[in-house]
Amino acid sequence: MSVKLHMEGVTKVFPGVKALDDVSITAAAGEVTGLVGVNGAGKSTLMNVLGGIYMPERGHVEINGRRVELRRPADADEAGIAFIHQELLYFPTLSVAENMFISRLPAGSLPFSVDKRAAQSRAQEALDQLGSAIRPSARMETLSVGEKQVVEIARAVAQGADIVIFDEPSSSLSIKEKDALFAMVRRLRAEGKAVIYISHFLDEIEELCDSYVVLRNGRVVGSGRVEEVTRTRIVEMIVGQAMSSQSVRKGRTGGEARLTLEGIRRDGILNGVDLELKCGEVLGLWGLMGSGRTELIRSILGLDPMQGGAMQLNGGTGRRPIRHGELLELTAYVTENRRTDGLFLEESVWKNITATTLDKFAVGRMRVLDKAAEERSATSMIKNLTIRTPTHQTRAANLSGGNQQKVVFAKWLNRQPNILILDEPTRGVDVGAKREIGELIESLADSGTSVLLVTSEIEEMVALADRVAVLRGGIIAAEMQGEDITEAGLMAAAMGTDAADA
Amino acid sequence: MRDSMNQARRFGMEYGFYLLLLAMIAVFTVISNSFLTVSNFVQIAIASTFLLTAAAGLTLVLVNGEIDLSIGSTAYVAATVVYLMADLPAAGSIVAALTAGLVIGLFNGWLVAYLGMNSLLATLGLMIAYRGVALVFTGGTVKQAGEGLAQLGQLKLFGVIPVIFLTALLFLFVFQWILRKTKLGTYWIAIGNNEDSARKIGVPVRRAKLAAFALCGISAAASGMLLSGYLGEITTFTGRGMEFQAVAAVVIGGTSLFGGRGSVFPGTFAGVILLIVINNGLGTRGVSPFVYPFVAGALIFFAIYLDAIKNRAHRT
Repeated sequence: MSVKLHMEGVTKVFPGVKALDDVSITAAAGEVTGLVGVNGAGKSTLMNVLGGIYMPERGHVEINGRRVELRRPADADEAGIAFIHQELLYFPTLSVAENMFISRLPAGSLPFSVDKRAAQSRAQEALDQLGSAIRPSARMETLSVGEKQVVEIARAVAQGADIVIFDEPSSSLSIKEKDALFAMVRRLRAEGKAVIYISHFLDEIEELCDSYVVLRNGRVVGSGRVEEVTRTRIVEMIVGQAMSSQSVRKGRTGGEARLTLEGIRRDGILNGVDLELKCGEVLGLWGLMGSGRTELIRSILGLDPMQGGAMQLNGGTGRRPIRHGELLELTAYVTENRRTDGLFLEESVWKNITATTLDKFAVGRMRVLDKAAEERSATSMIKNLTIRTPTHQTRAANLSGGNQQKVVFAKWLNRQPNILILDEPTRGVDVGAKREIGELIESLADSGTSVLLVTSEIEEMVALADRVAVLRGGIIAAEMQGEDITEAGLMAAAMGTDAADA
Repeated sequence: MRDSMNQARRFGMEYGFYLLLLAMIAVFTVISNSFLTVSNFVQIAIASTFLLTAAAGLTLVLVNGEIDLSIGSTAYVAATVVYLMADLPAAGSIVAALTAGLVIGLFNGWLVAYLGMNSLLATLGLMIAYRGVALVFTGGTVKQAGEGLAQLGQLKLFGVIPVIFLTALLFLFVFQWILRKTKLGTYWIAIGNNEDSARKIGVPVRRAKLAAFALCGISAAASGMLLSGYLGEITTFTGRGMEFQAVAAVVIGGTSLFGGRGSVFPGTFAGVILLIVINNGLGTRGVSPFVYPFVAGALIFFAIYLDAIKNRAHRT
């Protein structure tokens, strides 16, 4: 085993946060090193240091035992480091060959000109080496996601990169494309390249990697050989000891089904989601970033397309199927971006509150709005939800984040919905308002409302949800109820370990 | 079945305007005796020269996903330089006019690429300012171009083909070559596709954009210089409204307002010729000149609608 890449004592500070704290990692030639950690653990920052995008405050990088300075992306290029990004960087209207060599196009015979034929034959070579049938002259926009990724890998190969870094490469691939990807990673390993593979999915790490490094809060909290560690142990390292396995006692068990989802599909993200939302419960939807939580919600509401699946609604008069797009009219949906999607910031608080129910206040043949009634209704909402605003005429923009969010709630509650869908309801909200919004959610569920809750804050999920469905690989991979909902359990289920069942 | 329909649609979107151009020529040939004549084609060539030259450079800027609305005023500035240098031999006033265009283009490019100004608004303001500067020198009156340049402007190859039209073609071919066969051109397309990605991957975004604006300035100046050479004088109408006609012609020619796709030749060439042929054909048929803006407007509307469809198709 020869050391290819070594990062020593790398520290990177952003205003207010130590993104990387004395991180040292090693990647060997002819090996795949898995890099794992939750979002915000420092993986991306570490890779940006390697890519010459961030300069670390302390520490250095060695390649083949020699120190290298990575000040610009071009330096990383020159040092033989190539990235396969999660979000592919490509130019749809350029050809495959042009995409591969954009930063180093071969010169032609005329001044300034490009030798396209040379570019194409070199692209062909690299693609052949990977066993791919993609034509170098094809326009990038005509390729599938998996093929585009192959082009990125081919670019790395063509550049003669010795160190290839994959940043969550499998998140948007089909199973077949994933197998092809794994085969290519193994090919690179066999050629003696040092591969760093970043992933959330522990089964991938187990299948593909020789060694692993775990990051948490900007520090290396564990590393070693993959065959000498268990998944459960890795989850413990990722999550940390501090994470509680305590659950919050839940009283509600929910009544009969209100909304039933069957086999919801969406290309590349959802592979048949079955879910039942009951009356009077808070159902949490948990999963890692990119697991499709927001996508599922947007698809069932009709805001995004859906390639398959059925929905049924039980509206008290028995079950009936509903079509795509209908659900949005029947539910209240609090989006994750309250400033852009949830509020008319320049308008007064009372106008915001009554915006969804103007029909109720329109009187007479001309459907003129009864302003007095609107204001009365809004004022009582402001009182009920304890929205802290100087008057009901204050502009929504002048309220604090927490009170803005309460205005959003008020707006929807005015419609007295049976189903409330919440996407990150407490993002950017202070602790006090967070608690109040939590209490509000609880009391709505108590009064029979069905709440579907998406949040990336694990404590909030444990505190609020009566039942949690965990999305992984485009399906509901696990479900937990009542006292089984713990922070450790949620993390384990999201990352795909047996620890979930333990 | 669906595939072949999609193919037909794609073909229609890519080549529809070329077919329309051919159809227009056929229609005008049938309905007007004086359309398909050598002298009328010479007329069309001369009428299209000035727009072709300016639109060639503008195409490069649009491929970057930027816009330059100052090209009409740049043409007037160049014409004014021709007047100020009227005492020099022809070559001198040509070089001076093109240099003025280069300087203006570099300034526009610097504002957009290095200062990060929005190109639409920056060049809209400069469109007014440049014309103002030129008016200070001309006093808003008609001025004479130099003798030598005026003679060149009337020169015809083999006694038929106007040399100014050949100059316009030269601009088209050179710019198309730069767009398709050089690093710079590849960079422009990359920038137009996704400026952020281009930067991350090491494309010298700012320099490439600066170059596009510089070439655009030169071609706009050439347009004004050719017009004053052809007319032998400088009128205040030089380049007025040309920016909008040029944008329309470029988009009709299939270049996207969103950047990343387009061609100078045949794209922009066909767009300009289509607009001029419609104008000319309606004229030879004796249709009221007030019909032309309506037809041209409808065409532009349709072209931009097609552009939106193409982009929607590629973005989802």
